[in-house]
Amino acid sequence: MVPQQTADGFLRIITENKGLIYKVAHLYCSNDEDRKDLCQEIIYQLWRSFQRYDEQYKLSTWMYKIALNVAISFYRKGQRHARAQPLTPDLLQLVPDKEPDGTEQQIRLLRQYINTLHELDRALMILYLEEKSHKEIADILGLTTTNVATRIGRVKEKLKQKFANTNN
Amino acid sequence: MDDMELKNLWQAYDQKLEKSLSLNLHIMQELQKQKASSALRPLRAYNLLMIGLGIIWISILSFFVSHAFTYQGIFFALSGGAIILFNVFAIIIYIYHIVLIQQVDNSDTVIGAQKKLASLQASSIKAVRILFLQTPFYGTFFYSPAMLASTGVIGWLVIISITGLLVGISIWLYRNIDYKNMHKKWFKHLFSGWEWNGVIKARAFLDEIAEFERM
Repeated sequence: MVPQQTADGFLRIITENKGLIYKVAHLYCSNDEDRKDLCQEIIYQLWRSFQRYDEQYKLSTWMYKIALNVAISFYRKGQRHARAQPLTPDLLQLVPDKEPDGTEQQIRLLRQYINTLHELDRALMILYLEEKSHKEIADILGLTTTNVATRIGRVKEKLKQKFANTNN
Repeated sequence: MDDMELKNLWQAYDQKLEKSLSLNLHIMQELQKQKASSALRPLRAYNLLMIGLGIIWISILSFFVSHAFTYQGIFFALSGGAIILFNVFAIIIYIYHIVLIQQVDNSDTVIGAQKKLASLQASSIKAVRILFLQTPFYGTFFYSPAMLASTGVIGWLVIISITGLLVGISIWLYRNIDYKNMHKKWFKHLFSGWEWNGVIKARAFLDEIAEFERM
């Protein structure tokens, strides 16, 4: 039996970081049903790992490692995970914007472009856009900081090129 | 679009999510009550199944081999013994896979965890390579000194050709079942089907990871 304090602590962490989970799931799954499954799988794996979480490590580093690993494995499997007990309703629910503004289309394009990247470059780009330092990105991905800097430069160029092609 | 614009766009996305994303607390509580299940369970089950089948096969062979150590049964005993040995090697590989599965941890670095997972899938082919080496012994177990003594020249030619061919094929396969040959037609024929597609994709992913690490 998990202590209530642990369960409450986890709930608070997920509530505060629900956007992180949604964004990762959204960039690795374009299908709604799969995305729903992936969100559940990420939260479930975070929950399983939470009881072993070592507080000397940064919470966001721990969360990104698990979320990205689960998302990449899910994406590579190319199919929905057959969970023992699937939970049908959405764990993360998105209320559609009543008044969509001009940025909506740009955000959709950005997501679409990131979706075309290789799965590891996608992870790199999410972390870059989340304004993580090169050191933290290196810790999450398991690369050197020099490698992170070089790759970010290349991937950014690809994205800018895609935006430029769209605007022309 | 410059760096700043990209980041501002992402921030706008973040703010929209913050405003419109909600967590279903009921589902969350249900999820926390679920018993542990792992996405690697099918892979673990496959390896356990192969270990189980291997042990059964080795037990059956051992029973017959242990009763065949006579002058007339020497070919059966030696061929059976060799087949047992190759199956023991294959079982050791499957046990090693189970150990690797235990070590896969999602809180590891992305490259570290994905490398372990892909290596695990890709190394299934090692067991198959070893198992191919046992093939010639399936062509020798039924010989007996009495049978060989009464065999004429043509019979000897047939025996030597078949055994030689099986030895040649098995050694060739052992040496050539390698990912560098995965684009070749014979490789695709030999390793077709969903269970091998995953293995081949895993190998390709390992190459992509190596490329990613190289810069």
